[in-house]
Amino acid sequence: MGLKQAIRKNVTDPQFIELLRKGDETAFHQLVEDWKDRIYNTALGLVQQAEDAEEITQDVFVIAWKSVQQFRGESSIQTWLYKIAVHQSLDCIRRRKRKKRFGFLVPLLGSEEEQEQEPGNFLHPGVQLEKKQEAQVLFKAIRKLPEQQRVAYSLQKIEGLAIKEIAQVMETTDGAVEALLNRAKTNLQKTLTNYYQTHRDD
Amino acid sequence: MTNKNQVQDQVAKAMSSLDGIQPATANPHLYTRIKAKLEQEKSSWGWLAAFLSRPIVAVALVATVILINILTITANRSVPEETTDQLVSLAQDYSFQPSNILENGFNQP
Repeated sequence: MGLKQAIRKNVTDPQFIELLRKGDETAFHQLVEDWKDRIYNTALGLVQQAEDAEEITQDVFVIAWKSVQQFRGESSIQTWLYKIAVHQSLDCIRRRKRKKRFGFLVPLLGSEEEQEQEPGNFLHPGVQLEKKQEAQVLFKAIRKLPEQQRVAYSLQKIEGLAIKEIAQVMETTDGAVEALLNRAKTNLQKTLTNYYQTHRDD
Repeated sequence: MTNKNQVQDQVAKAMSSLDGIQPATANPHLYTRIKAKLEQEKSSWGWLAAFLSRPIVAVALVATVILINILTITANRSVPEETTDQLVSLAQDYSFQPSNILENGFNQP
């Protein structure tokens, strides 16, 4: 059995969770190694900025390490980590919006803190080359979706989670997730139609 | 009509542009960075917590708070009534009350 398989087997094991609770650093290292890519991918899909996504990924594991005592195993480790990742990502998006809204105060108050910018033409590194241009337009449209629709759509399309898994992460029902996804698709189609009507040469 | 079809075609292409997307990979040194972050938090907060939990610091802080409270109460009690009376009479002499200003019509252009 390879190391990766052993880790995958371990992370669902109650013994593994117990080791984490006891503050076992090897177990924590395993948790990070096994989940870092998925958490980073989720954060990147939501915040659409590599630096922020990396910061969020670090924070997710820091929070997980600090709050593992409260983890009762009622949900899976996957759901628990995804929940923290989504929460941190939404927090980052809200912070960014706030900074944008009150950005005019920065020169007045004389703060030298760098103003956070909305991501420009974001392109996820996993997008196929021939779809690059369309994907950039789609990511821009995703940013205009309401929070809950954005989360459900990103978790499904970028992270590839099933509706049931999304429902667990969002603490809602399968039906509610389906409704969110349908509304997200309708909104995206509207935004894209408007975009292509005004940018006919693209 | 052709334009409408073109737009619809572009929309459909964009909507399917994430099909077959490959997951992004995190920084290979992520664990080291997480450990550094944890150590940093531990050192700054740990130092503060250790400092505040020293019996002498805790007792000194509580004593300071109590002292400030006592001083505030004593200071409020010791305001001489004469001063208050003088202020009231001065305000009456010069019609400082907001109601008087309104009655006299000073706020009108």
